Amino acid sequence: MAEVTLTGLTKHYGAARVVDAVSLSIASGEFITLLGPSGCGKTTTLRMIAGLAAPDAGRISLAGADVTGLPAHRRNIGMVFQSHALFPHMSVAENVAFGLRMRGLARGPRAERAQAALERVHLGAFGARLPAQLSGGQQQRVALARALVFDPHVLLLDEPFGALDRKLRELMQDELRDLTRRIGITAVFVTHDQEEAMILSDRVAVMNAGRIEQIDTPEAIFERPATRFVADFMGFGNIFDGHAANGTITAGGLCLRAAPPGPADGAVQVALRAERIALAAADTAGAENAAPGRITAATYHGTLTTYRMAPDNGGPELLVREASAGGTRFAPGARVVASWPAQAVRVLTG
Amino acid sequence: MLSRPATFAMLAPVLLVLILLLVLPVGYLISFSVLARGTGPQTLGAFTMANYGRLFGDTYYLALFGRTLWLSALTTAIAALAGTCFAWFMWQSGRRWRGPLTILILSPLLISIVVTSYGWVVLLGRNGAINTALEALGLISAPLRLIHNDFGIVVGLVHVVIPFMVLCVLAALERIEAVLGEAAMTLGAQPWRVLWHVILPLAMPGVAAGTTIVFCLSLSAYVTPAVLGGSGPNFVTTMIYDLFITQYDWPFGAAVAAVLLATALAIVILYQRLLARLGAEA
Ligand SMILES: Nc1ncnc2c1ncn2[C@@H]1O[C@H](COP(=O)(O)OP(=O)(O)O)[C@@H](O)[C@H]1O
Ligand SMILES: [Mg+2]
Repeated sequence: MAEVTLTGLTKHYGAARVVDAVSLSIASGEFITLLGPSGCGKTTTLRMIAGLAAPDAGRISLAGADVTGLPAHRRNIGMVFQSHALFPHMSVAENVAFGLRMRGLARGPRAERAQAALERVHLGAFGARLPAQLSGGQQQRVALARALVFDPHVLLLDEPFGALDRKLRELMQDELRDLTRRIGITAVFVTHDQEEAMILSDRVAVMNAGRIEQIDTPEAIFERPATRFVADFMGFGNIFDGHAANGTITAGGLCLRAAPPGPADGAVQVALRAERIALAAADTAGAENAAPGRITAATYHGTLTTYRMAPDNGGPELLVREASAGGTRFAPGARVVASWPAQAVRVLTG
Repeated sequence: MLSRPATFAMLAPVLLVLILLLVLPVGYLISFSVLARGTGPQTLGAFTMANYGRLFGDTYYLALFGRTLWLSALTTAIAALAGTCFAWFMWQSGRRWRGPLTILILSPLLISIVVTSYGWVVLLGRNGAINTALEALGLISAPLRLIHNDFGIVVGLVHVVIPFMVLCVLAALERIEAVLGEAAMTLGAQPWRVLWHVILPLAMPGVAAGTTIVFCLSLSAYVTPAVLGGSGPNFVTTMIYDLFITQYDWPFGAAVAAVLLATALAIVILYQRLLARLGAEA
């Protein structure tokens, strides 16, 4: 059964249509991520689900009931904000118990359940502290415990780990994934970090300018982007305007075969994954797609090295990413042959 | 960290100004309080504690202190309630109304207290606007006594002190992140419970600072009780004025001033302690 259903959700700020007819059905226990660049309307969508912003059009239903007109305090949702938003004048335990207190639970059971929720996020010994006496990661764990303690219909998280350093962020992502799967809660997570979205989600909805561009499993989004925007956001690195004739796509001087193949004739857009292009010093026989050319730039990133290559036949430059193996292999000016499998070429539909 | 002499050198100008402007004149004045009255006008006699004995031995003076404290406390309580409401209203009203409302609330400070006090006389006097209107409406047959009594003092004082209260509470409200209220709502709090459990507790430091300032201002107010209060000494300050200017009794006036200062200090210190304890418990 769908736990959260959004139908044609639309919101304007002034003349700007910030969320544009978003429809989405989230199954019970599913973890969905809204992924997109800053300003694309993720937070606004989440705030409408929470009841903190009113949609101009569209409907929201939670657990089978239409809640579009319901104020936030009657929706039974748990929300975690980027800036943790813990009450600074209450102890950690009081913060966590707040939702239970608002629901009229007596002091005793309230304290018990708050303690259990704190233990679930490994902060059982921290109940008496003030939020200011905790580290950033601990504060975010308290916020999570506070949002979960009253068994909400859905857990909403707005870039909760955005302010944490990389290592801590990875740890928190693991913990969040384990916790949400273990208790089986429905969750909507917002981030602009595609890796975070991949790690956490059952499904990812990629948003652009207030619209959902594509919604699918992380693997499908990453491997088979439908649109130019999604391919770009997923870091394909090479996106070309091409032309198909007799089943062969040409883009500038490149001749590309795609698997699955695109339309036989007409204008097409193709994306080519930068890390699936192999560079070799000599001609590589047997490759489905190959192009000779000259390296124009080489950048060492640590784990990866990126090259730019100008094909001999002219046309757009190719971006190539490869795992650094003991340093940079080619210097600018070096002659190389780039090759890639047909599966790395993706014909885009929009 | 600076060395001790360096710290002292940096503080020296401030200390000097404080000593010159505050400690010396007040200390000099208070020193009169332990002297007898001289034989001629404006002359001083030998050392004595009789001034304090006279003050603490006479229920007339003690009652006047009691009245002054009570009216100041009442003023503070009314200003705290009204000021907090007004500050909350300003905070809620958003950017567009902030400017006009700030000017409105600061307006009592832009005009001399003497002028605002006489404004109240015009409004609340026997033949003032309020009485005239009420009579015209047939609601009263004889004018109400709205000034030259404690009511007049409190109305005038609240008007003078309320800007300080509003500014203190507003400053505290401004520091509250809007997301805290939203978090409370998502946790199931109705608007009034957001106000009660989140906004008000976080505004309390502002209320505490405001009430402290407002109480001290009320206690030491002179013009308002002089213009709007009843006849004769009706406030400790007006009595001090009377002792110095009309009766030329500087030693006794100084003793009353010293006790007023000590009372204000003691109350402020006790109040701060109480607030600190409440803060630690919460
Ligand atoms: N309260 C608001 N008033 C006016 N514009 C807003 C408001 N909130 C968001 N916006 C605008 O709406 C757009 C989407 O914002 P948001 O939903 O926060 O994006 P995201 O979370 O994806 O970064 C942005 O252009 C932002 O400037
Ligand atoms: Mg956002």
